[in-house]
Amino acid sequence: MGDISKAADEAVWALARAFPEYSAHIRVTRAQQLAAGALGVSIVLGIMFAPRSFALVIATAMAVGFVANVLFRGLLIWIGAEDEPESAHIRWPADEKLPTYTILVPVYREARVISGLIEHLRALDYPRAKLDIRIVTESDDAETVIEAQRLATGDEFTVVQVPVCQPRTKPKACNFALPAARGEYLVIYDAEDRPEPDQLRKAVSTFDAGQKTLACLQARLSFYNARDSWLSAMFALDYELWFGFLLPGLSKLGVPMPLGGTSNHFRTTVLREIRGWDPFNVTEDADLGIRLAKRGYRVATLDSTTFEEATNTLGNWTRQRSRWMKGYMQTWLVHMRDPAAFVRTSGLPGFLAFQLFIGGAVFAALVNPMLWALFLLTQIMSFASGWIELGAPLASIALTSLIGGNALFTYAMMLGAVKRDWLHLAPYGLASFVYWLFISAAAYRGLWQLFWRPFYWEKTTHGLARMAIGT
Amino acid sequence: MTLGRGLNLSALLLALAAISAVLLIVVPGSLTALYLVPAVVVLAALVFERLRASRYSWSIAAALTAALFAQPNLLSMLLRPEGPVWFALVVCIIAISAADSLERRDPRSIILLGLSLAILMVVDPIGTLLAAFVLPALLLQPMLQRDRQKAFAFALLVLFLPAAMLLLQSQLRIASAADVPLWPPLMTGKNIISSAQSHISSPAAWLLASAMFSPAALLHFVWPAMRCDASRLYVWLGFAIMATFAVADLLGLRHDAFWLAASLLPVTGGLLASLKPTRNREFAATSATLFCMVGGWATLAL
Repeated sequence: MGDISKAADEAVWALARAFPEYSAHIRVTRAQQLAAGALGVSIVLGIMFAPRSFALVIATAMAVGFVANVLFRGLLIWIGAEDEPESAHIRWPADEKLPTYTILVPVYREARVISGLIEHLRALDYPRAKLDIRIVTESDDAETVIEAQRLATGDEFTVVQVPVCQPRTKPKACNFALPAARGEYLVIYDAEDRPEPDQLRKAVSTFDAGQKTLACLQARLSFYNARDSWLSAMFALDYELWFGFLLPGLSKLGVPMPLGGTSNHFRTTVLREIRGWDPFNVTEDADLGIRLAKRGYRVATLDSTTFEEATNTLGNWTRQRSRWMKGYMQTWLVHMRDPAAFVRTSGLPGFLAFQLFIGGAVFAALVNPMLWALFLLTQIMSFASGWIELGAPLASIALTSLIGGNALFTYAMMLGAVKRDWLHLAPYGLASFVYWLFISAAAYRGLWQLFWRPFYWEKTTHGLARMAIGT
Repeated sequence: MTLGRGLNLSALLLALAAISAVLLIVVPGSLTALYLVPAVVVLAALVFERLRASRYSWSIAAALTAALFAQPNLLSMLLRPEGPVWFALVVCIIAISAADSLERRDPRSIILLGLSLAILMVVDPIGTLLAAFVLPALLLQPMLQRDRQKAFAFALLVLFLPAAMLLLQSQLRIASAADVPLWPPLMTGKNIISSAQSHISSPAAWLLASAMFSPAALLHFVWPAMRCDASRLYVWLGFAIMATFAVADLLGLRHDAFWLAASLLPVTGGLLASLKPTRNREFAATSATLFCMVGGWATLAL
């Protein structure tokens, strides 16, 4: 086996060899299959022998899970609303004391955004000699490789070509580039990212001021094209809520925090120690955050923003969101292989937060249309005799969850606009219940893919933004 | 939300809720007044801390707080189970969060403002009316007038929770096909004080109830050096509360003067705190407040 093939093999299998329990290449374990089977049998027996009671039990369980998820998010919003960024009162080190920083930028079929990418990387306020920028391309994507080689000139740039092998995922590409990384710290950016120029300095300062267990910093993500369309405005509110409230809330609670997309700053040694990203998980960042917490490391939020491009077409958005939902399902399944071990390593609060945040996000998205359907059904069937006895409690359950859940979700989305003072976006939040139905559709698509195409990475097309604000 | 010198409102409210809940369970019946003591203490602490945060000296802040609570019969009414202490507490949170949310646009204040308006609608039938008067008072503030689009979004954020509460209440009523009092003792509108002579329609009661607020508002108007955006907000809030009670009286939602006085108490405290710290501020605020307190008792005695 040549060096390249060996490196590619390591990129794919290093995690599965060292920590097989954390690799998503096995979708469900035997125990999980048995548990799912037992649940299926119970459902069938319930429908056969006690349909009315069973319907009430199922509806109540759905409503409780749904409302618990929404209430937990409400708690996170309250905690995360207080502005106490990790890097608020930190002194920046002098240039000569700055360490080498590796920047990984995985790109695939992104030739048209390479020039913008290089421009924004060059705008970073960090000594050139201490930058190790690796544009990670796929060797069969000639157009992007040529464009990157043409534009990424300078000693700080390296264009890495990943050999073609399965799975064709971003984490595998990052794993391939990781061994050669020279930086003490390492950050991931996407092709269309525009990080604030002082982000690397802030990250270094925050790492220096923190304990050694602080392994990762998640910068805030936001969009520069929030006003492109209704969808991009909703997506912007969604991100503001996520990175402005929910993740800081998790960070302050000290429970496992799923990393989001890009702008994750790592101590490179820790990243190598945990064998990088899981190439079989399509939300490898979320999984990585949980694995870091399980190994006793801390993840915190960084008070710096990276502006991205919001997907502004429904097709593009659905592909991206269904991948995220599928990845969350993968992550939940991987970390629920041994729940007792999870409680031992992360504590009961960490375990519960994982259930409500990762499991709850998928659960709420899947259940939301069911509750709508149940509500509509009970309204229609209320005119039929014989349904009164069952229909009234069912309608109450569905209605309470719908009003409570959807109202809180709508309010939370509108609040998302407050921190960055993008109040003009808040009225869009009133349509959140429609947006949530889109999320539900993406969740069902992700569920379908989990069975039939578990490792398939649905590509999000970038470079479609029409306008930019807030940069 | 941190109020002034590290007094944390959420911690206070949590402590209050916990103490009240424990006392409600442990000492039910005639001893329920016991759980009102912490509520009054928290109300006083909020007013005191607001004054301290705006650089009033410890002694002046204490004197002002004491004078505000020492209005004729107000304290004894606040300590009655059917009295206006909860109402005053919610109004206090509305006033503080309104000022904070307009000044800093921080999410917690906006949540608190919407939530307290929503709670007010459950606590008392007059709450819906008060919410309707408070909102224009907020929207008229210069901080929002500078950007109409943001003012609209702010109104949406503030109104959302009260509107959701209205929906929920109406839905519950429809569902049970009857008028369901959500909080029976407070929703009946009956209380001991309403039978007192100081009914709101009486001009003397109006005068007594607004005694503390009016001089504080006058300081804002006649002393331009003390005027600022925040004091303007409190003045408008005070007027909104007075208008609410006047309209409620016309509509037959009968409340006694102590409810108005209790609602104006935290707003007056906030107004005094928001006046610009000029050289004469402490003297003017203390004189006006003490004069009104003494005048109030004298009027009652006569």
